Amino acid sequence: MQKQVLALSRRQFVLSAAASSALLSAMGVSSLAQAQEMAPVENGWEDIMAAITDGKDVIDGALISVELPEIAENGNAVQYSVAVAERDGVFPKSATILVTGNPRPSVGTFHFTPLMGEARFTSRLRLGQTQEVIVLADVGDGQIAMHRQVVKVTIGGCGG
Amino acid sequence: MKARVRVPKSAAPGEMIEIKTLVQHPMHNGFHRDDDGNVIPRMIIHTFEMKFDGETVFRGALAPGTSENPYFAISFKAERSGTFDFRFEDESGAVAEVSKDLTVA
Repeated sequence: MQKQVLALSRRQFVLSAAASSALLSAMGVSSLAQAQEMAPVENGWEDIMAAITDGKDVIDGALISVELPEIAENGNAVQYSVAVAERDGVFPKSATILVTGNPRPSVGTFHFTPLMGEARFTSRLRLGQTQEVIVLADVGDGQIAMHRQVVKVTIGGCGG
Repeated sequence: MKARVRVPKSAAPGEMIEIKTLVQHPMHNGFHRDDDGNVIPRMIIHTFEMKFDGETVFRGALAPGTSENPYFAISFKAERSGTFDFRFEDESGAVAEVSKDLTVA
């Protein structure tokens, strides 16, 4: 498991997120669920991130465990696992996976319930080139935990 | 669209188990091209839902970044016997559904 230093300082991030979310709010997009599940037109990853973090505290990724390869030989199917820890008896609500270098930046939003026992799943994502994978977890209590990690790709997975 | 699911046949009460699913789907992201060079229109599975005795356990709102033939392994705490229902739906409205029983003893 790796911890990455955030590419943006918290202050820069909050400022840019606030600016982007103001724009999104003006457009009537107030949450990720709406941004993703209703709109066929996708925004850039910064916009999706801003929609998710709008009005929420962004905390570091200590509650998130991510398994990803450092180097992916085939970007068409990069296996990953995400586990989000409970905090103070609050079961995590969801995790959204974003990538910074694909033409379509979202992998999906995954909703958890306490029936899982542990908020943990494994799946596979596409990486068209070397880029960052970002996990934004709704840990409840109005807080979003963020984990960012670079994956190097030797053969991309988005073209045709 | 064809889905396969693997559920352990049995589990002990309170045991953490893993449910695995694999669904055959190209997950066209709108950038793939056919052999003649024509762009293949976007067509992805947008929702995957896993229920246990009618209650949602896990739900994925999938986006184009999920790989073709989507694979999931999902943690589940086995508390009692029951039935899992799995449902996948793509943007054309095509649906794949699978049910599997779990025995907890």
